[in-house]
This record gives sequence, C-alpha cells and structure tokens, in this order.
Amino acid sequence: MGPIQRAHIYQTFTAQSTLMIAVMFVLLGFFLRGVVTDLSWVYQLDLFTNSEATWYPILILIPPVIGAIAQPFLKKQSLHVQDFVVIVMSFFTIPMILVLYPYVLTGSVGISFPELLGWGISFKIDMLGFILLFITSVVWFLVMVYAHQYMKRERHHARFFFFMGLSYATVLGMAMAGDLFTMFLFFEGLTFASYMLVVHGQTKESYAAGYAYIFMGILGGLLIFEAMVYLQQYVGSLAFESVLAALVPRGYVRYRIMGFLIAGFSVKAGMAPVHVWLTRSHPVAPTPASALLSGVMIKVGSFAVIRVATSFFFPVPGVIYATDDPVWLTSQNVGLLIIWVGVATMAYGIIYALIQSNIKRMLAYSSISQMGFIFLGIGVALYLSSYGAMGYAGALYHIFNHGLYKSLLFMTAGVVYLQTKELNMYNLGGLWRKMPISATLTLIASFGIAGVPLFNGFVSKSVLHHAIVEAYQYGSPSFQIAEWLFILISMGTAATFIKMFYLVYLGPLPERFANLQPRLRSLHFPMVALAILIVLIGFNPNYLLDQMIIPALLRTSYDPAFIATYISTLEFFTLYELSFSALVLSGGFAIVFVGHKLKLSKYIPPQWLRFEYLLFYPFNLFLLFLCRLIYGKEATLHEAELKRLEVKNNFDVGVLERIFVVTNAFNQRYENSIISSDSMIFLSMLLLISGFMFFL
Amino acid sequence: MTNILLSHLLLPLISAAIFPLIHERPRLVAWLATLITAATAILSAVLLVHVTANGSLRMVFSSTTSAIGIELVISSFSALFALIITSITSLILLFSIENVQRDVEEDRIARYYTIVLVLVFAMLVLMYTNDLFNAYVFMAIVAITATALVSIKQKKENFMASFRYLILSEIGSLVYLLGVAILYLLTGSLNMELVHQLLQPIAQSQEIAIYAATAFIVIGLSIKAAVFPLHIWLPDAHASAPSSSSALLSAIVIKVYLIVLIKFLYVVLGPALVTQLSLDRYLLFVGVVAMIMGSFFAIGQRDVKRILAYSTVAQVGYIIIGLGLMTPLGLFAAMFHMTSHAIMKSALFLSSGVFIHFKNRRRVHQFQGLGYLAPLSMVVFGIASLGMIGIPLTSGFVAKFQLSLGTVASGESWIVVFVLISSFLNAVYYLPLLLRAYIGESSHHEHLGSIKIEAVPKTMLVPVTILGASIVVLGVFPTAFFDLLDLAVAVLIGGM
Repeated sequence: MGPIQRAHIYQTFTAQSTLMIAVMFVLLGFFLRGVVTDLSWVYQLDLFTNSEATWYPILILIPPVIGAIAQPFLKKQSLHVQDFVVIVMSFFTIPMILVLYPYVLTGSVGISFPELLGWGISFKIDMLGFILLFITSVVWFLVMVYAHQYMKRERHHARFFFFMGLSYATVLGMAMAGDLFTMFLFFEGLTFASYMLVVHGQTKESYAAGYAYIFMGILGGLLIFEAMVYLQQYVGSLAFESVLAALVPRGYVRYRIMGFLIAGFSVKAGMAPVHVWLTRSHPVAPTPASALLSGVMIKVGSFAVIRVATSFFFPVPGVIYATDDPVWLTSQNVGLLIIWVGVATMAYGIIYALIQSNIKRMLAYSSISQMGFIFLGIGVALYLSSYGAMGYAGALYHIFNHGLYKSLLFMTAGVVYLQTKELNMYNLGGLWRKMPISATLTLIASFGIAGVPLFNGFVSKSVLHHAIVEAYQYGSPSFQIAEWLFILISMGTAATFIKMFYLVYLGPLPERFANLQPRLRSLHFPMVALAILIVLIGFNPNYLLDQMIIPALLRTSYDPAFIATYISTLEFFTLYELSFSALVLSGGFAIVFVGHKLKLSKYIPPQWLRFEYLLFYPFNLFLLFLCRLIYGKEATLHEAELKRLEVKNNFDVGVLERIFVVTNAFNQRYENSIISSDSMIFLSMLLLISGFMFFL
Repeated sequence: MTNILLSHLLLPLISAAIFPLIHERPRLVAWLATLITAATAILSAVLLVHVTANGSLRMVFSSTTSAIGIELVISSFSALFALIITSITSLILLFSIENVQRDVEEDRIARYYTIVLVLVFAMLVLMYTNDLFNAYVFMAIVAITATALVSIKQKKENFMASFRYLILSEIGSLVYLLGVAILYLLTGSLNMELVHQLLQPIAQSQEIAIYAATAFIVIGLSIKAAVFPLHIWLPDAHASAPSSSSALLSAIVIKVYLIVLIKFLYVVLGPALVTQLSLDRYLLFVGVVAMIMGSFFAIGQRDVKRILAYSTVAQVGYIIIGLGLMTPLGLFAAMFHMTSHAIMKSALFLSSGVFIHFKNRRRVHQFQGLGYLAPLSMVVFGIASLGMIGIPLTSGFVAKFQLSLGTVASGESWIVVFVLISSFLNAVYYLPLLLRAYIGESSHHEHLGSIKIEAVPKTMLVPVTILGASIVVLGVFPTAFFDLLDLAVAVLIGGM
C-alpha cells in the first residue's frame, strides 16, 4: 500500500467515523426532542407486538458479537476494514437501544427461556437497565472510534477487538438480565472477557494485575453463587422480585444473602476492601480498555448492587409503606453499612489519588473514590426506606456522569502518552501550547469531575449531597460527619484534578518536548463528542432526571409523593448549590496550595501502610511459619524457598505464589514420608469410621 | 429384551476372546474394539428406552430363584449408567487407536484391547448386578484389568504404580469381602434386596455386627474409589498410564466403584439404616476433607496428568458429599456430578493426551502458547477446566449448583462454604494452565488468523471435540437429562 493510498484511507476512515459520530448526535437529538414529546410514531412502528416475550434483547446482543467474531476472519483485510466492522457494529447498538425508550417508559421488554441451563434464563429491560444500556452504548461507541487510532500502535490488534466485543456483549447482557442467574452468567463472562483486555500488554505488571483481576472476579462470582443457592432454596426463584415475604420468617439468612450479593458485585465495582485488582489493572491495560474499565465496567458492579438491593430487599412496588414499617428493616440496616463503606471508599481513593505521580494510576484511584460516591448514594437509597429516592437518583446520575468524564480523562491521558511516551505527571508540563485541544478537553472533563457548575459532575454531586443531608435529617445524626467528609472529599477531588492539570498542561515545557509535533488529530473526534455531552448535561441538568431517572424511580417502592415534592422540583442553579460548589473549588485550591508548600503531594506512604500489606502480612507470616513447620529438620535444605516466603513485598512474590510454595512443600513431605506408611492410613481410617459410627 | 441384554453383555467378552487370534493386525483390533464398545452403547440405549417404558428387567442366572442365583437388575438407574459408561468408553477407545501405538509396543496392542473389553464386560455386570458376592468377583476383574492398563506401558514407574494399585485394590477387595461375609452370617443371603429385607428386623439387636460389616465394605470401596486418605495409589497410576488408559481409569473405573457404593448405601442398607449408623455424617465429613485436600495437593503439582489425577480425588469428594446427604436431591446431585465429571475428566485427559502426543508437552510450564499450537484441544481443555471450576454454561456448574442446593435443603449449609473454597482452589490450579496457554510469553500467537487446527489424526480430534461439545450441551440443556436422572433416583429411593 503506497503512502498516497494510505493517506486516502486514513482520510476516508476519519470522515466515516466523524460522520457516524454526527449521526449519533442527530439520533440523540432526535431522541431528546422528537421521541419524548410525541411517542405515537414509535408505537405505530409496532416493533414488539408482545413486549413480554420479544427476542429484542437477544437481538441487541448480536451486533457486538458479530464485531468480535468477524475479527479472526478479517485477518487478511487491512486494519481499517477490521476496525470498521467493530465501529459500525457498536454504532448499530445505539439506535437499537434508543428505540426501546417509549416501551421502557411505561413497562418493560423481555423474554424468558425457562428450560435453558437448568434453572432458566430471562431478559427484562426496564428503565434502570435502559439507563445503563444507554450510557454503555454511547461511551462504548466513542471509545471504539478512539481505539481504532490508538490500537494501531499496539500488538495483537485483532485479539483486543475480539475481547472488546465480547466484553461489550456481556455488559449489555448484565443490563438486560431479568433474574440473578442471567446476571451471574454475564458477570462471569465479563470477568473472563475483560481479563484479556487487562493483560493485553503482556508485561510482568499486566500478568500480575491480571492474576489479581481474575481471581478476585472468580471470588466475587463464587459469593454470588452462594447467594443464588440460598435464594433458589428458600425462595424458589431467582427473578428480581421482592423476597422479603419468603425470607423474613427465616431470620438472619437474608442478611447473609444480601452480604454475599453486595460483596460479590462490589468486587467488580471496586468497593474498598475488594478494590485491589482495580488499581493494578486499570493502569496497565491499553488506554481504550482502561477508559471502558473505569467508565463502564465498574459501573456494572454498582448497577448490579442497585438492582439486587432494590428488587430483592424492597417491598413489592405498588403499596406505599411508611418509613418506620418493619418491611424496610433489612434495607435500612444494610444501607447504614453501605453508606459508611462508601464514605471509606471515597476517602481512601482520594487520599491515594492525591499522592500518585502516574496519570493512569491517579485516575484509577480517583475512580475508586467516585465509586464511593455512587455507593454512598446506594446506601442512602437503602437506608432512608421509602424516602430514599434522592440517594437512588444521585447514584444513577453519578453512574451516568462518571461514565462520561472518566472515560474522557483516560482518553486524554492516552493522547498525552501517545505523544510523549510519558505517564509520570512530574516529567510533563506546559503541554497546552503543543496540544491545545487535548488541554481543553481535559479541562472540561476535570470541571466535570470537580463539580464546576455548568458541567455534569456538579449536578450529580448536588443530588448526592442532598441525599446525605436527608440521611441525617430523617435518620441517624451521625451522618452529619459523613456530610462533612463528603465536602472534604469533594475538595480533594477538585484538588487532584487541579494538580493534574497544572502538572501536565501548565508550567514550563520540558526541553525534550520542545519539538513535539501534534499528530493523531482523528483521536479528537470521539473525545470532543464526550465533552459536548458533558457540557450538554451540565447546561440542562433536569433533562436526564425527568426523562430517565424519575421514570425509573417510579417503578420502585419509593413514595411517589416524595419524588414529586423533592426530586421533580430539584433546581440546580440556586445560590445554595452554587456557593456549595464555590466552597468545594476554593477548598480544592487550598489543598493543592498546602500540599505544594508542605511537599505532601510527593509523599510516599511507608510500606506498612499499604493496604495489601496490612491485609496479607499476617497471612504471609502464617505461610512462612507453616512452611518451616512442614520442613522441620530439613529446613536447611530448602533455604531458597523459605527466602521467597520471607520477602515482605507482595509485588515481588504474590500471595498465590506463596501458597504454591507451601503446598509444594507439603506435597513433598507428604509424598516422601506419609505415603510410605499405607497401613497406618488404613488403620486410622478404620478407627475413624468406627469412631464416627459409635459416637455420633 | 433378554436377548438384547445377553448379547449386550457377551459382545465385549466374546470379542475379547477373539482378539488374541488376530493380534497380528493391531489396527484392525483397535477399530473392532471401538466399534464393539459403540455397539454395546447402542444396545444399552435400547435397554434404557425399554426399561423407562416398561419398568425394571430382572434376570436370574445359575438358579431359578433370586435367593440362590445371581440376579441382574436392569433398571433405569443401571441402564442409564451403563449407557454413559459404554458411550464414553467408546469415545476414549476411538482416541486410543492412534494414541496407544505411541505408548504401547506393537505386539501388545491386541492385548491392550482384550483387557479393555474384559474391563467393559466387568463394568457392565457391576452396573446390573444385584448380588453382593457377584459384585466382589467382578470388582476383582475390574481391578486386575485396570492394573494391566497401567502396566501395559513397560516402564519402571508404570510397574511401580501398577504394583501399588494392584496390592491396594486387592486389600480393598478383601476388606469388602470380609464385610460381605459378616452380612452373609447375619442374613444368610447375598442378594442385595433380600439382605436389605432381612436386615430390617435385626437392625437394633445386631447393630454392632452391622457396624463392622458396613465399616469394612465402605473402607473397601473407598480404597477402590480413591476416597481421600485412601487415594494414595491414584496419582501415580493415573499419571503414568497412557493417556487413554488414564481417561478410562479416572473418568470411568472410579465411577463404577461409586455406583457399587450407591447400591450398597441405598439398596442394601437403605436411608434409615445409614442414618441409624451415622454413616451419612461420616460420608459428609470425608467428602469435605477429600474435596479440599484433593485440590490442595493438585496445586503443588508440576505434571498436568498428576494435576488431573489429584483433581479426581477432589471431585470424588463432591460425589461422596452428595451421597452422604441421603436425600433424593443429594443422590440426584451426586449422579449428575458423576456423569459430568466422567465427561469433563475424559475430555481433560484426552486433550492433554493430544498435547503429549503432538508436542510432547506435559509439564505445567510447557503450556506456553499451546492455545495457538493445538487450538482445538486447548479449547476443549479450557471448557473442561472451566467446568471443573464451575463456570456457568458447563455441566460442572449445573452439578455444583445442584449439589449446593442439596446441601442447603438438608440443612447442611456449612458444606456450601467448603464447596466454594474447593471451587476457588480448582481455579487456582486450572486457570494458570489455561491462561498460560493463551497469553503466556510465546512467539506463536502473533496472528490470530493464521492458526491451524493441530496436525494430529482425526480419530484423536473427533472424540475430544465430541466430549467438549457434550460438556456445553449438558450445561446449557440439562433438563432432558434431569428427567432421566429423576427416574434413576426414583428407582433407588423407592427400592430397586
């Protein structure tokens, strides 16, 4: 292929993808204006004659799978053709999902296959699922357009897009799941498909991150499995319906189920004690994958928590219960816990985000902190029983907004990396002169995450702030502390991005970047599209609330009078909200200033403060002790193995590797010595069995 | 129907007698053995259809009454497992046609297939038999032929392993026989159902004697079925045998002993007596220990066949738990797991047989890039190992879910936690193999499109593919199989 031809294809490709983005905006605009004001024409199309049993959910899963499966077959074609299939396929899903809107506004669309997989799988799209489908399809399409340019520079191109397509299908499947079993199915699929994205770089760090990722994912899956066993046994069904009537007479087992479900799904969501995989895997994955991991895939975890908590452990919708009705007791107790875990996650994430120097790792910690905000909302949604609608709305809105600005932030970080091959913020600076568009886009996304008025993060943070204020007005006064922490952490978020923007784009330009030529303009189109969405939401915050979130709220068991009084009438551009935002921003500047003066921003916490160290150190010591015990007198022969166990750092010798060493030791001893005394084993077995029979 | 039953039993036996005559043509023998086993499978299917429609079929040999003679009972339970065993065996034999040539000297190949067919005959009789002593005789035949399958590969380690296997399974047989002798002294009968009836009136007065008999029989069968602390012969025997023999031993032969154990528990003793003897608590305890320790030992292994062998020890633990629950749901789960494990483990051994045959890779660290060198077998290996972990869409998940439901339903919900721990340990040793095969440092996977299906004979790839597909089919559409198992459970809980 000659250079002229190459340039030609490059231009047509850019033109095509730009055209598609433009069409996406037209569609969205059409959706915003036409569909909502007048629904009759969609009904006239009569897409689903029977919306309770339509194959449409399966149809939505098909385009991403086609895009994935096409990859190996298009090997002989050029990269453009391969990527074009992926991009077009992810583009197709957007109109397919938008068309669903009028149907989910009043009811739901679904199908069930009771024979499949023994316990039957079912799909059901309602407003809650639609919101996740909507944000996923938009962000995914834009990231795919970005990924085309970005991934040209990476190896194993086809494999990346293959697993990208599979991950997309599993995320859509989780959003459309009609029962816990189906959700579990796609949850496991997502673990395996996105694993391949995490380890795509095939470096030592990405393998380590991948092991952490997949084993945490399997662990989460097993916890959900256990909850499923209990639900199937005690309730007899896994459909997303209230199980309180069946479980309350059984006592505490409902808390056990709830605990397993929340723990299992929050592994994917990166909630505090189980976030270990996140900070390792997001920085090492290729940028488009990190954007989607942070922007979409961790949202799936929080979406699943909302789904199970508000369907299984809420009373049946339709009847309005008072806030002190005993049916709410379960969700109140669980909500109380989730609020505090959410606050802890927020605080943990932001403290570590402030001291990072690697942009992508900083963004990953910031994602943890933002997931804490979402969990705070979920906690309030559960804790305030029938008045919890504010927390629910805040969590959903924040899922939406974080998906937009965090993927944009990862994408701008990716552009900076492509241009400079540098991820350390302290080695960068002054790039706004060289990359003005990226600088503007980063600024918009940072405004979004910091909660500047007229940008989207401001909206959802205001809603969440209302929610936590309500938590101490209607509930325990101890949440006053949570509110203070909320404000402090919002300041920290602002400070993180002020610092990041200053270090990367302002200040003096390092000499080695003096001759930097701006390239890769086509990367900007999807990023600009995301920035436009961020600003649009910021300018018209009530739109999403009225058109999507309130219809979703009305399908739950919340008090409709409360929704009508407080949420439908929410106003964002009031003096109170604006001064709150000003407080947060000035606090952010103050934190940056103080941190700079005290040189705190480069502070590296001591080894013993590391989370993994605290978690695993006792276990490591135990393993070392066990290994010495097993070897006994022969310990001197196995110095090398014991040395490995004595390493204090979990990065050099992982937990799994330690377990391998110990089991090996045990095996050796066992096979050498115990096995030679067969008769002893038989004798003790006979004694054991007769003992069992006589004494039990 | 009697004709079908007889021809079905005698077909393998007679052909086994003919094989030495044509030992000059080993390929012919191999193909004949495969076809004959397949024919046996088809006849078992016919029998299964017959007994599901018309109820159990009974046949008495050596005498006219079942009290003295040897009785065979073809129920929907025994016919179902006869079908499963013979069909999987025929797939393994199809695989072995090319595989055995590599591991076994040419003049011994006819001998190998003679042994396999005698083994098939003995296993079929063990399925159907309703006689405690007859079961002893045929277990001895199974033990000897299974030992021969290990030692057919004339290497030092094979002789060591098969000698230990022989000695231990003879000890097991003798211990079993001792138990049977005590039962005979107590009841004067060897027919399983008669013994059951005669035990009822003396269950209280002769409790200690029944204790002793039960302990001997359970220990004897535990040795043979490799229930945890008595599994010590298994890793060496299964790892050193030729791949097709390992698959037979690990996937099929172990299950036959478990079926004898099921018969002993449900037909001879009956749930009431088992509970009275606290045997159920013992089985649960041993099952949990086996489940955890088997996986634990597998983690430390470096040889893929030893990993698979230890994994069998763990999976036997799951089955024993299902039996120990002594509820229809538990028995159902145990039977489903037996079937699912038979398919998954033979798929694992056969696909690792392809790796060993094709690239001579059997160490864990040699799995680098195998997913691109042997794509088809590695996909099957992957599906089967995901099934072992219990990932949905595989039969392993259905089995695990069914078993966990059974434990919660009987109020033994503590076991679910151990099932999960064991699943996680399974992931710890299966996933690295799988991940290494696809993403390990290797120069083989630059081009996804240029992958070619491995250049091994079709007779090896076909059974591997069928087994891999049936794992998924059984995982996605289990309900048809559930109906068959329901019938089998009804037969046992309601008396045979």
